[in-house]
Amino acid sequence: MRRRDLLAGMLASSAGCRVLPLEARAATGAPHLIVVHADGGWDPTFALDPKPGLALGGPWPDVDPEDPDDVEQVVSWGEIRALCNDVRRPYVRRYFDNWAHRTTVVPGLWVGTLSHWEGKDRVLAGTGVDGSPDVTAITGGTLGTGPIGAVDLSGVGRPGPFASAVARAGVRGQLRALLDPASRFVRADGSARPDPGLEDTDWDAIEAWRRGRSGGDRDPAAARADALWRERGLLLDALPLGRRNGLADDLELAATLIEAGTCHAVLVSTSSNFDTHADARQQHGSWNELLGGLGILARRLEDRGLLDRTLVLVVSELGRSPERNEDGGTHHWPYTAAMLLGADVGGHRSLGGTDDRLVGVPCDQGTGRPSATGEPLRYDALIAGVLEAVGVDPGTWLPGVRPLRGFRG
Amino acid sequence: MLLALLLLACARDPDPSAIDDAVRVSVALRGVHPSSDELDALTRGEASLEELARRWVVDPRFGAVVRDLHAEQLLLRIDTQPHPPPMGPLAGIGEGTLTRSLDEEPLRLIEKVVTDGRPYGEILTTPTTMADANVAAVWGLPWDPAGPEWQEVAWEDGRPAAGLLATNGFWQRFQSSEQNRHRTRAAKVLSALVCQSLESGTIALGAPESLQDAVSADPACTTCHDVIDPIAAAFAGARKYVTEAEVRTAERSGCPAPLAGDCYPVVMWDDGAAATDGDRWGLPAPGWKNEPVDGLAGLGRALATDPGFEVCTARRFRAWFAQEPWEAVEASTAATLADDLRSADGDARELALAVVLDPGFLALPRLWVRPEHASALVEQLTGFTWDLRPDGGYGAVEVGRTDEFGLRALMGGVDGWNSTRPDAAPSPTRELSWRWLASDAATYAVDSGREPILTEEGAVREALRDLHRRWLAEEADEDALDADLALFGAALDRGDARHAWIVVLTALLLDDRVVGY
Repeated sequence: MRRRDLLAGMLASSAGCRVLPLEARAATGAPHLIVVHADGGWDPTFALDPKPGLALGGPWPDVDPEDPDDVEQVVSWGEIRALCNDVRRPYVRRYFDNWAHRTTVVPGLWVGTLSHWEGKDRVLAGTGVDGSPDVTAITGGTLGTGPIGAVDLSGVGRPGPFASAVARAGVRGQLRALLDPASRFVRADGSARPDPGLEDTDWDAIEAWRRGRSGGDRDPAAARADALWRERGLLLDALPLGRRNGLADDLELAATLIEAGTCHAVLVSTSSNFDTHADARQQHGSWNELLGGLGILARRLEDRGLLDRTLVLVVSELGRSPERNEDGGTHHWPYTAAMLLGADVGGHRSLGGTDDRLVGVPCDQGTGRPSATGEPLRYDALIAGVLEAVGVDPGTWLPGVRPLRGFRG
Repeated sequence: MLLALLLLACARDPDPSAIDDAVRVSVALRGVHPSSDELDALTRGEASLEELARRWVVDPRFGAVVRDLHAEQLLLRIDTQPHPPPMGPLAGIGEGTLTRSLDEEPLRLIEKVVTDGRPYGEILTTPTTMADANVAAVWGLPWDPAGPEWQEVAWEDGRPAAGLLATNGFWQRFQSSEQNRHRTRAAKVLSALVCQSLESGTIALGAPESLQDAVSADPACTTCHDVIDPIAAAFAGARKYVTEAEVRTAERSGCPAPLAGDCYPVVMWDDGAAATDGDRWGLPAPGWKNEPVDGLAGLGRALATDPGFEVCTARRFRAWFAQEPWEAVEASTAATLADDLRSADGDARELALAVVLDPGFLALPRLWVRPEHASALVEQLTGFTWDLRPDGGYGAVEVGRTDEFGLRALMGGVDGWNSTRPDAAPSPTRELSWRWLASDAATYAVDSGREPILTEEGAVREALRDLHRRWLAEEADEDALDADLALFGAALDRGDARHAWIVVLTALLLDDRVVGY
């Protein structure tokens, strides 16, 4: 049995006793949010922002002149122009063949930093203010009506004030150990763990005792923990303890969690690292894995009727410099790119843009269209636009920022 | 503790808050509760809270707290990231064991300076670092097998005397590149040591060849780079980083000449580069606040005597103990604490005491036990040690102190790399982690015989009263004991007496008076 089928079966079997009906949980009607973070700073010229003029950068130095199939080709789907290579990155073409009609791409997104850490703050939270919550934490913490507001499968989340609404999975699936005592590792001396033998009725009694001790108040984190415990079946199947999940597995799990109503938002990060200071050829595989995973995610969401109710944001904290260095790699660059897919996202659309030197072109921050009086599309406008699209007032978190709306409708 | 609480209960004007204050100060400084003897002494008036606290800052567990404080604020524990591998002369050592040694190097140095009572500024000026056998083998440091596990040793590769700034742990955490040119290190100096964050403005970067021009000419860039580049220049000579793959490749290939520096012991300092990096990268002369400094050692000395360093240190200590962002510390509070540090000739133990004995700190709402201290605290109460050994030779894992297999970030801490701020509120995974710890520890306490399996109601009631004293540092009233007995009785109905005791002990360990302070 494939894992997907197994999960579907578990969903069906558990719907009556553990999981609230999806309709009940989606009472707010607000779209769900899945953010996919491409870790390390991707090179958009490998897919979303073709620059054939970059003879010394992008994917062109890798082309094997002896292989007639190893060809870099700019392909258009409406406004979207993507760079395809059916040998090195076949999933780029496949993704856009299938999902360009539901996708907006945003090359030339300005992040204003060359630092990974600041870049992550900016593209995930929309601000460089340290300690600010990321967009999935805000969305899940504000709108989530299920057991958990948001699940962080990435480890890069910034829960900020929404810590009680966010569940982290851990870099090696440690959440599984929290939910399945039998899976926990032995003690350091090699002895078996103690077996408390506590059943759910015992934990209910303990929680009732704790409530009594605290005068009836319940820590919201404890209630969320109970909910996670009750619905642990979904996570136990999908989280491998002791190793990192692959991107496709995490995206599959993200869709499952949304589908089950377990959470309102999910943050996922790529397992491959785009930070290719040496050997930029690794970008081929990373892009292939990413676009392949996104195709699976989109299919899964559509098959389950969730694509119209789920906004997917794909973003990386940095771009990469236009020319390769002496190590065959590329350094950081303050212009990156983003992709949006799903709920209320206009298809075949491209906003922003870069010039031949990979510098963002001036744009209107609201429409995302080139404007002589504008400035390169900003990270905060993008995040404000995403917040607005999923039903959160962006002014609460990013006051004064004009939301990007050009990807909608 | 029993006597202390009895005396408190019988005293004419009992002051249970004195016990709570002592618990708070002890957990803050050592990660554990006061002992019964200490609380007895407090209650009898034989020792004041300050006197107890002065004993606690010479307790070895205070040294661990100093490391934890700096690990969180300097982001120096990064066990989720690749480290030099256990191979060659280090073959057979667990990967986790080696990682922990390497991450602890700078933290042990800071601990040494603080616990020796040396001026705190020495963390930036000492020509030494700390090494255990693993650190010594990886970085080529002297180490005496007959000496203690961690030894203060001097660098022998010619690097400047700059304490933390010259540790390989700092360089490996804040890595450089041909593009970065030590600026990440410089930015960390500013943010962590003088509490100054750089705010990037709207920079219109152009083509790559103009990037460097913009750094020195574009006003949007020069604001920051005028500050940061002289600091970065002081790091000239420090290797940008060494990767796990570099070491692995070099060791596997037999360390041929071009790769010899990547083999153990790894070479991280280059005197030649120290003389040429600045010119090669177009950096200005090393400096601090528009005054030239003599390389990294000069930078360390300038920082150590900068009033901003004292104030920032005070701010960081207060922020960590109070579990708030350093930005939230009032300027007046930071200034007062900095005065305390200065008056003590830089002895940071006095700074810690000033923070935790301050009435404002004692009046804060309940604080939550940090993941790094959960295990030690529960071990103190139950004898149970919370550790694990993953499959595959990684080595032992302290669950609350790591993230590669442990639960530090899931319990609200930082992983030092992606998670750089502790959680602002309890999280579901923190709650689940505590349930794991509490139930395992309760089971251990029962099965080891530390807590006897009693069944006669009167005996059970007295045992519970005693547990409230020993574990929760409180005198339980009869209603509380009735609630405990009800929990016990219901669990007894579902199982045997062992089960009932595990349920009750688990509940007590999850009480706010254990998980908080």
